[in-house]
Amino acid sequence: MSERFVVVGAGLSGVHAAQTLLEAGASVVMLDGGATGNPANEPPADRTFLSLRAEDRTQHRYFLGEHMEAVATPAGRPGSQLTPTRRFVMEGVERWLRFHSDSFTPMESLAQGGLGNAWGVGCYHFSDPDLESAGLPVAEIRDGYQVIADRIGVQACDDDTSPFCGGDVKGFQPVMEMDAASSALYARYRSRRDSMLRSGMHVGRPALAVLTRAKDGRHPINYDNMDFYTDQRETAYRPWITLNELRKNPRFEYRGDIVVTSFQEDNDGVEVQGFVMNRDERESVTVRARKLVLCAGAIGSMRIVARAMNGIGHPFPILTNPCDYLLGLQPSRIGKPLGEKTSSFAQLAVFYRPPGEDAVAYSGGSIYSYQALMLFRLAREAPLAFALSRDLLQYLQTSLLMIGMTYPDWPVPGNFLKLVRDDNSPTGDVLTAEYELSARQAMMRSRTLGAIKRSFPSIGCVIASSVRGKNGFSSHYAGTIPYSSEERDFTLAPDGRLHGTRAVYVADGSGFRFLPALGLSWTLMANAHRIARRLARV
Amino acid sequence: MSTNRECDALARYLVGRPCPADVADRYMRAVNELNLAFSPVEAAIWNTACALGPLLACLDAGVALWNRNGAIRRRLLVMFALLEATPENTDRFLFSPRGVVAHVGTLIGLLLAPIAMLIGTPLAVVCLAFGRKQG
Repeated sequence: MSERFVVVGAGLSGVHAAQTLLEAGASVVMLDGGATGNPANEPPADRTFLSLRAEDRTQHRYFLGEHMEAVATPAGRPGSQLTPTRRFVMEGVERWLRFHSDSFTPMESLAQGGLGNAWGVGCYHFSDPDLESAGLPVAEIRDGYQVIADRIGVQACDDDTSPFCGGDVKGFQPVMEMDAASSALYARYRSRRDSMLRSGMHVGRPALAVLTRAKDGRHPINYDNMDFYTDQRETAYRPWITLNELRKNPRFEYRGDIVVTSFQEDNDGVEVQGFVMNRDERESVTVRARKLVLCAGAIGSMRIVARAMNGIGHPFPILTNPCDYLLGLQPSRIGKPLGEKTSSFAQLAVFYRPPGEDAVAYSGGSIYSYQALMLFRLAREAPLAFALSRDLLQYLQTSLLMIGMTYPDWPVPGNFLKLVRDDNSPTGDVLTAEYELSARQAMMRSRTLGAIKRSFPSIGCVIASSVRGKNGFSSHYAGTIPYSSEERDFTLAPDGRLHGTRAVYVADGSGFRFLPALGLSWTLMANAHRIARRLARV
Repeated sequence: MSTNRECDALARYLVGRPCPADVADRYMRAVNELNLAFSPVEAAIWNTACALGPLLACLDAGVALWNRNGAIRRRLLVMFALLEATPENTDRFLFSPRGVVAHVGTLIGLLLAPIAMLIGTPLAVVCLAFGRKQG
């Protein structure tokens, strides 16, 4: 096989689609924005969070940012959840991907690795009903989960959250050690397990793309607790790790300075159109392909399709997981240290499915200890004087837990993206959006928060406050060009082909017709592999 | 008020220590880069509060309730973050077990908080009314 594929985007979908195509013998050109972090701003290697805090006089560079980026971005704005060393994820977005909405605040990326650089590395497993609702073929995606787990390395164990996390995949790595705060919560959950399960609350270890054993030159977790700030040890999986491997293949070519804007089909294939980033003068580029595989993310691929297929002004559906952030306090932990082995990754996963509810109508989330984020982030939100906040938070921090909850999303006519013309934009257009919670989501949200506030005190955790994430804040996007068995405009065939084209495929989350309350990253990679494998067989 | 005196007043209020010179430099740069300039009314209140330590605590308590996005609270946040990211102040931010005296200090702080808020509220409301609009 020597067909030339052009893959757009080097995120989670793009690199795994490319890997599958290369393994099948194809040639691949990858077009990508390609922004990367500045190595000079990385923290020193192999140092723990506590030792850096105690000794490094330059720690403000990576904890606050050279220009105080961590302080400057108000909570709730796109990117406010990123630490300074991860801010490159959004580099160039404001300039090249114009967006305007009062009701939706998505995070987009032109970085090498895309939003995968900011991924919390949770590996959640869509159930069969989830996959069917999303319009995904169950057997192929299940097979894809196994392929991706073998490629990236996933840790998981068998417990009450297995149906949502690792599923029936083989060859997981052992789970990492939990810190003292989460261990205390989990021990109390185990002692009250029956009543918790009866009420619909499942707590267990999350499946994570974090190594506990060495793999392919990557290092196992060393509990330095710098996970939010650096990937120098390649312990957590990031798409650029795969990209670096792909670049060793002579049939792979990477162009990391291109914003793809559109495409045009002809008898010989596809002409991909775009321009070179970071030049004062816009320099147009075109690249020929036999087949084009869009992996620019649900929002990015939608922009490209709208321009290419006369979709300016057309409303495209959008799915995103609404989210809440809860701060929990474990009174029995007050005044106790967190222990030696700490990490910033999710310590526990929690799922709530009320008895008798639909198989897909559950909410899910992750539980973190508050240790490797600076106190100013919490103090900023507290309605107290800073000196008092510091005094209280310093003492309470080892008893605090952060719980991030997400809720499912279904297509709703009032929630859409629309690309409209704008002569002041470098692409000649601006993306607009309308989004609001549906009545069903609002009900689920209210019921979930009520259930957590009622049940968590029984396992020793009082919910001190909760903040609703702005629409789009979860960074989970899907459903803009949904799968359809009918040949309709702006939809995808089940094999990922864009209806109305012969050689344009979309292999990211654009096709999902439903978004369960889970991180979708593992499913994105499995689906990209599925589509690429079918393409490789054609 | 000179910036150095302002930094010292803030550091003494937040962590009970003088402000290191490098932190003061970063603070000045951040105030410029983040555009945290004051209106004349805010500047007058701020300078008075910095000169009188306890009044700074009251002003902080007031703006925490009534003017959370104003320049005063944002300047306090900048200094808080900068002090947190310095080795010599690690012991003021990272967890450490506490004795009875420290607990009593925290309790006193909590008991005085409503009083500080009462005193700080009119100052914060004036800043809200006459403050420079933040972008």
